Amino acid sequence: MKRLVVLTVLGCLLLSSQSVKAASGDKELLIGLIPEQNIFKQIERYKPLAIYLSKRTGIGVRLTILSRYGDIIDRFVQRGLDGAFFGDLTGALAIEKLDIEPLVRPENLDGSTSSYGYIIVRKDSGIRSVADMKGKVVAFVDRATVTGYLFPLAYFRSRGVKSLEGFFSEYYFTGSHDSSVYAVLDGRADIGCVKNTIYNNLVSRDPTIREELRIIAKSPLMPESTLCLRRDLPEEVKKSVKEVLLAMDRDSEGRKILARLQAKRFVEASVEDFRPVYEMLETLGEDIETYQYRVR
Amino acid sequence: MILSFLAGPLHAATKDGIVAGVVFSGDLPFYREIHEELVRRLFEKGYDKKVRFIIQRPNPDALAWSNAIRKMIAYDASLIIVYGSGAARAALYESSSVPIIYAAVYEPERSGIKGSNIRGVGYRIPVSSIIRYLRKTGDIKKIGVLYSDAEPSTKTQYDDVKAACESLSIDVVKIPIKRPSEIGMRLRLMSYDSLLLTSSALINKYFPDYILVFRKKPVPLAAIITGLEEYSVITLSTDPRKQGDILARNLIQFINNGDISGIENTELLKNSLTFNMRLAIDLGLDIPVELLTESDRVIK
Repeated sequence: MKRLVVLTVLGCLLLSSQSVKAASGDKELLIGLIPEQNIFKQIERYKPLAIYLSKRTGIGVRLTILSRYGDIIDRFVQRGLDGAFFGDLTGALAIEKLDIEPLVRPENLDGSTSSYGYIIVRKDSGIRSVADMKGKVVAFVDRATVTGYLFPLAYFRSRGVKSLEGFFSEYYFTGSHDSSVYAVLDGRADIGCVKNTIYNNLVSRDPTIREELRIIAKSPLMPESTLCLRRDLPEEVKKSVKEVLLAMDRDSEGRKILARLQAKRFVEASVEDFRPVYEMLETLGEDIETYQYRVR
Repeated sequence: MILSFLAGPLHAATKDGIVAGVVFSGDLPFYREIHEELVRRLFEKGYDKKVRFIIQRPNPDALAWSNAIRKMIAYDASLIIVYGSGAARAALYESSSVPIIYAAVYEPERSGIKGSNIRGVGYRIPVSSIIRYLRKTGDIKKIGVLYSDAEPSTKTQYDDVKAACESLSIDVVKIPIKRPSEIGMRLRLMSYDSLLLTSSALINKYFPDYILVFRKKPVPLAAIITGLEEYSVITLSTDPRKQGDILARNLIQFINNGDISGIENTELLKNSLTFNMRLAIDLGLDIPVELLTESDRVIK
């Protein structure tokens, strides 16, 4: 809880300086970000994109980062967001609960437009299977992610774990994917769950991480972070944003920003992209309408 | 120094109770917290009247540990509980018949704390994580590691730091300490740009006496056990209460069965991270986002 408060306060401080003023007039888009990585890194990654979009569309783009994944659903209306980069499950939840339209999603440097989840442990932990995990500590990311919660949950269940409480000595939610990795590296948790793109990003900056961790399981492909905008926004706004993003790999400034996002380009997104999320929920016997995505 | 008393609510041995000799490797807050948790757990589970403790907190040196263990044997203790690898090794040397239960020993097997009459709860700290965080605070090229040959786990920690730094172009400066006075001397003479304190009872007890010498060089300090967070920028430590909890379980098993053969050795990996941001700022270090977001405790 203390960590969450620190993050929220720091987030507010950071975001007060994130406003990107529109080149023209009072048009402005407020775009939400989920705390996929810690908020500093998220802002560092997305701020240039907001500036670029503002310049190219003439619409001011302002970013706001939510302290928890589920907040993006709960606070979308309350905070007057015009859109957000949604994750796998938050995207599906937003499609169901908010009137939004998937616009674009990034194509990763390896050409994929999807990501998957890993279950990780330290190599020196002796853990090689779920049987070895009994009595250990698990660090999930958030209830509102497939790669950081639903997939590992399904994986554990498929291997005989009937209840998390009865099998593990403790489980908790780190709030971001990179935190889950650090928790395992530091020995604050025995088992972690992380999206592959975040894992790869950390490993590319510090290859020793790969030497210390073992990937125990890999999830099915899930949609990458998808920019969705409110359906009731003016058509010309949605069209303009989409066109700029889809074309940004064709100019050098755009390519630089994409590189910071560790993306090759943006591609068109659709509701259909979220089908694997629904399938994962079905595997777990969960209904998206009633799924309790909030971390209590 | 001998301190012999009945801990907390554990007042008197009942007819069917046992006498447990307890030897700390040093009078450290870390060991005290483990013992307090042990006493609390025994009380909760109704075993407080079934054990009487005789506690010794000798000076952290091999001779004093051996003397403390011999006294426990002479007192005819039913078993000996040791905290830290120094006292654990002394117990192994001095006693072949009295069962020994240890706690707070880093990687016991690798540190030679093993045998047919010894069981317990150890811990692991990924020292690579400490190195990773230290590197984020600045350009670390030469890390000094203070350890004590009399405490075998601390030598294991030195070996682990050495292994972790091998691929990182970081030199590891070996700083063995035999006597308290050597701490100040070595801190003055050795060259390093960061310092790591192993879990040595000797070093953790006496390091604060030499803090002024240490502070002459504005370098970050990292520690492996709690207790010196005031001086240490990064502390990655096992949870002493969890150690005490498992120790209580082991002791209860001994009380019930009369021997230690059924007790499984446990190596705990449940650590907590403390970042002393105030100190990092004073030292002019970079403040890594990861330490702010990942730390269980940030000292501001």
